[in-house]
Amino acid sequence: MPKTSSILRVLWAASVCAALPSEGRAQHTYELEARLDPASHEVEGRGTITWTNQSSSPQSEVFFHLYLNAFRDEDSVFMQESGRQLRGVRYRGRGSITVHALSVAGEDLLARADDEVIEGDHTQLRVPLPSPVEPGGSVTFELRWTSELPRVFARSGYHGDFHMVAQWFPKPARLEPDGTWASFPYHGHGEFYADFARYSLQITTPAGWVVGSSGIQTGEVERNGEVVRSFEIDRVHDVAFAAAPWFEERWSRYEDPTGHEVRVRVLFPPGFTSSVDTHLAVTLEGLAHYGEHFGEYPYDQLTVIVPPRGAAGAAGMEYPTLFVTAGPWPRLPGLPIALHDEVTAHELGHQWFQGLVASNEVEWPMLDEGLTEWITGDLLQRRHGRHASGIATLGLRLDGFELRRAFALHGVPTIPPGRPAYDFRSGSYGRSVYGRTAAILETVARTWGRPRFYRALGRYARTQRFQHPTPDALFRAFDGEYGAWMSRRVLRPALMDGAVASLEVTSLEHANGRTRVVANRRGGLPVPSHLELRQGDQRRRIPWPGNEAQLVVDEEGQWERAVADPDHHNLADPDRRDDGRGTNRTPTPFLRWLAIAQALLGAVGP
Amino acid sequence: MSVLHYWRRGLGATFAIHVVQTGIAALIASLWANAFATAFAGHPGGIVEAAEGGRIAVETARGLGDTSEFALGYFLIVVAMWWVLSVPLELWWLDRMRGEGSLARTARRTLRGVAASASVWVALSLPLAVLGALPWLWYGGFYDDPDPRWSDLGAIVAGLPVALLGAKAMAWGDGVRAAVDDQPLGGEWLTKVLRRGWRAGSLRRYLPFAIGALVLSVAAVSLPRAALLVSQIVLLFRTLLRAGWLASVLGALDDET
Repeated sequence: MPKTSSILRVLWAASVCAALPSEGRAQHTYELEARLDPASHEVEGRGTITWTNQSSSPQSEVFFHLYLNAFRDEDSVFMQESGRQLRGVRYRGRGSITVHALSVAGEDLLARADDEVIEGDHTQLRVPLPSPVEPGGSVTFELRWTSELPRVFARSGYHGDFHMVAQWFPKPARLEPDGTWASFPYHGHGEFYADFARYSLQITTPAGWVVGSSGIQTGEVERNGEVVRSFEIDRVHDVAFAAAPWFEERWSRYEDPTGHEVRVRVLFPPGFTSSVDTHLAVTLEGLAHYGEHFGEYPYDQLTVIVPPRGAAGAAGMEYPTLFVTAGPWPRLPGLPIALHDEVTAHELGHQWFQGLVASNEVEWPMLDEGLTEWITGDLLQRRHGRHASGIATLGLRLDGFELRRAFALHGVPTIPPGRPAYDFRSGSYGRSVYGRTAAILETVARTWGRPRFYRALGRYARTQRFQHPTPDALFRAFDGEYGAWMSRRVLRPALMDGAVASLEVTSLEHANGRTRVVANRRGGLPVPSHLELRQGDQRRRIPWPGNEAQLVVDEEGQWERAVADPDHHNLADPDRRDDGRGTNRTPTPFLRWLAIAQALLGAVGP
Repeated sequence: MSVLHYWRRGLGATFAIHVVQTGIAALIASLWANAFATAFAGHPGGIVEAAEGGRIAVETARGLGDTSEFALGYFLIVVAMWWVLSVPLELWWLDRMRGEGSLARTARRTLRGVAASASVWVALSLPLAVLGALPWLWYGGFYDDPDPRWSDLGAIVAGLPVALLGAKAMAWGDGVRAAVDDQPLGGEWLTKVLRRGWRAGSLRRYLPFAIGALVLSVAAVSLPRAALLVSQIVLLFRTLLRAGWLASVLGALDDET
């Protein structure tokens, strides 16, 4: 993209700042040092954290998260909730974080700290302060700790020489503006919620190792067979890094319309060269697409980690300015899209939700995973076309949002996606929070127009950038674009209460040269649709207003079939099989079955 | 007698075999088609939607899942019966190529054909098991290497010996069925039949036929919906190709004597 002139760029930046008045200032600072010992798979850490009381009331204690302790023993909340597995990967070995020293101005605080806020769980640390910190006041903690990495599980750990170092340092929980702590144990679903801060990192590894970290590398010194790398990053709420001796790397760049350049660095194991082309293409297209609609990516670098095959526990995870993708090593044209594109599109999407729009993932996972799942499907639709955005392989083409709809809504009902993460059981979490949210949002986009939808979600993303919004902020943004009916009649019922729009053509009858069709709507969502009558190549469409529970059509002519929602705009329908009804015995693909059966029998004999 | 002569003389039987196979395939296809229809629970409009682009494939698959136990069970029974039938059918097919065929003669030889065919698999079961384990051992052994090409490409290469041995087993099986005669049964007879079958079922000659048949099968099932009638012609060619292989086995037995 051509660079604009400096004056234009300044004017454009000023307009963006006007549109984004709430870009926050980092008021906490982290200066952390990490020394990775690949033999013991431990990180020796030390550093200082300057914490500022951003609430309206004095604070006499601070909560820290010690999330690696989720893997210390089987009594942790994480282990109890997850059943020792996450996303199909089983727990295979202990991990922990041990704080050796915690002090303020030389005064030890560890002796009075409580690391068992919930019985049996050691993922939170309540630290009484020497004296209350007034609103706007700061306190500087000095810390020393050891992080014992587990065999890679639940986003952290090692596999051979690959180390994914995440949730690795004691991190203060978020203090809400009213002075209440949003501290919670490490749950299987939902982990993020923290304040934006400025981070300075020094990461030490053996010489010859490659490190990919959140932020930008600002220095590198080699001494005594070790390399110390420095990284800086501002306005993020977490940092993580990956290290391995065999990482290969590739660089690319993206320039947004303001002329801001983002360097993209991909680290990958040997053999993944061809699949990196796809990861890079998706990342660059995503930076442009997401940036256009939800605000430009504000950081100078983005690091993409491709994990080795045995490290599935680390795959598909996002951190500010760094994400871990997944996918097969060869780029084969016949493979389904999901294997190549989807994880990268999804984890990149998290840079916006919840990297920049930092909602509480534990209380409102819908605002994090749900919105990201929609923008993922939207990007795949843009890349591959709507009808090939889910699967496009071996002649089979499937709409990605149709797959999400059927995955989320067909079969056993789930609880609504607007519930806290800890209310979900493992299987229903993905179906509801990811699939159902995406299906509902896509219904709005298809029914009332995609440009409007972009404006509404873009308004939310821009006004809430560097903020910590709740669902009310999302609903306000949509109401601002559509009117108050949108949240009252569509979004709240669908996302918070689980309403659907189940369409069914219940009868089609011929009498006296006329066709009578009865179609019913159940589930409470007022999604307007159409009923289409078909006879050979002839089509006739009858509007079906969203507020009519039943549609009765009496048309001249002997129409063969009647189909509700012929354009598949309504993705809030749990079962499409009853959307159509015909008079004739419909042809089944008998000849295809015959050819397949003949081919199989020919392989058996004679 | 030339291979072409055997092939021409067996044309009638070849067509008969193809018709029988198509009839049994039609039985299976109707089972599957009915399962497909049942999956839509009386909403034929849905079937059309699915057939016209697979846009509701998830419900289709789930609906089929509700009925597929029945369809799959019958399919497996039919395939098993077809496998049992295939020995006498092939014996009859080979006899017709020789110009000797009669149902009574085929019936008399069926037991011998089954015994000889089973002997081939018994003889090869251990090497097949050993070679079959190779790709798994390789894959497991190199799975943790950061470069996945070691495990994946290596496993494919390690799988070639068992694939070739499997192909040899198929070719040998055809060879022994072609070598079955009316001599007195016994160990000596079995040894002779296995030896003659081994030589007649040459892997070098078999592979082009096998690959050709595979290509035709894939082509037949991959044709677009509008051209599915053409698939029947493609599958007929496949049967004719199979007849060519069997004729070459008979030719090889002639060369030996």
